Amino acid sequence: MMRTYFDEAIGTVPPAQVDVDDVIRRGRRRSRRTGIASAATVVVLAAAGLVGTGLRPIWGTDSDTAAPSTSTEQRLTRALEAAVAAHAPGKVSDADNGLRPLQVAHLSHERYRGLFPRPVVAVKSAPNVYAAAATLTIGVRTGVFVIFIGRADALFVPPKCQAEVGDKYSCTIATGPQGALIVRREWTYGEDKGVHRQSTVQIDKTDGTRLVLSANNLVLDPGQLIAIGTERALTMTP
Amino acid sequence: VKGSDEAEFREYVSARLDQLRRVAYLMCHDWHTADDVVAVTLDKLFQRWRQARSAANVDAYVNRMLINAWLDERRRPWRRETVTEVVPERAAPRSGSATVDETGIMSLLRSLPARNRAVLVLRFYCDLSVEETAQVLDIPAGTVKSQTARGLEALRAAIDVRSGVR
Repeated sequence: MMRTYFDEAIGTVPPAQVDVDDVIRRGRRRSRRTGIASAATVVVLAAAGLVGTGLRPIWGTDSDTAAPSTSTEQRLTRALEAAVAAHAPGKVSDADNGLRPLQVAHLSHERYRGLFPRPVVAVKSAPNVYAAAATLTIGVRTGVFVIFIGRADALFVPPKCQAEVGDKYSCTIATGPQGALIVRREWTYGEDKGVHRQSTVQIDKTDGTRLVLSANNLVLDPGQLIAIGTERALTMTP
Repeated sequence: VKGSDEAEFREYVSARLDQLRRVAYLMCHDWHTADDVVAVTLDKLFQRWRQARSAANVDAYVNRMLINAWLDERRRPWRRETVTEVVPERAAPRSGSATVDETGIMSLLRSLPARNRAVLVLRFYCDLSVEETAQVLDIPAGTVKSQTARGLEALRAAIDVRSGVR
């Protein structure tokens, strides 16, 4: 009986603006993207020290948040494309949400929604960090490559090796080109058919720029990641 | 989502779309927003269809998603509602969507906070039990009971139903 009163109160129902076929089409597209995203997520989490180390990442602080800068995105994209071409020549693929592979975008970009831990997906609170991702195929290997670029206070990753160094996790700290502090981490995680290998380098440049570069499936070795990340043009203070 | 799952999803949505839109409209009182909320819900439902269809009560599962989508939508700055004692005057309804609110139900719902409103809609329109409503809204059954009692009293006053509602 009550339901009848509710229906009377609703009155005439206008034609639906929701189409089930559109929902299914969007869902299919999202599923395709998720395949790429899940691999990238593993890379990202590993880059942050989440996989294998028990650490939780802190992606940003309030001290360095800023609106996306198109000029910064374009400048960093040019620098990254040149660096990858120079140090890791191969096939670059995967683009979505209007971004081409290796195109650098601010973390508030639609592409990164759902891909990274929640604190970074809100535009308002997104730290002033830029990122790019791509699937690289070099020789017989294919893997996901991810890079974050920001100032050290916006891209917070402890610049030290954790205590859990063991058979499946190694970490070394060294001084690299132009005095950059380089933290190099390598992981093996998963079991049986799900074993993954991950290389991550964190580079703290003397100009205050911090980069985290990560690749899985040995598509890039740590030396290549360091070579890319220490390119002078990849900086927040050109 | 496989082809057979898609067919099942399409069948379910086709059968329930009108009901979902009505529930959403009872929550937000605006067909544009209602359709937005339903679209968001269906997007999520498509991704979780296998999980949803294995639920003991698929409709309750979907209603939960719908309510959550609406609560999320309300938090967006441009959607924020303010609960007031006096319901403001509304613009004339769109052509073809005339609302006959002779019972005052819509006005009553509009005057309630979001979760109270959801309790009434779930209990009296979706016919969910106290326990199911509590589960959907993630609140204690006691809270559902007390809000239902208060809402029922108000509904009775609004539509002058003197008996037969339980």
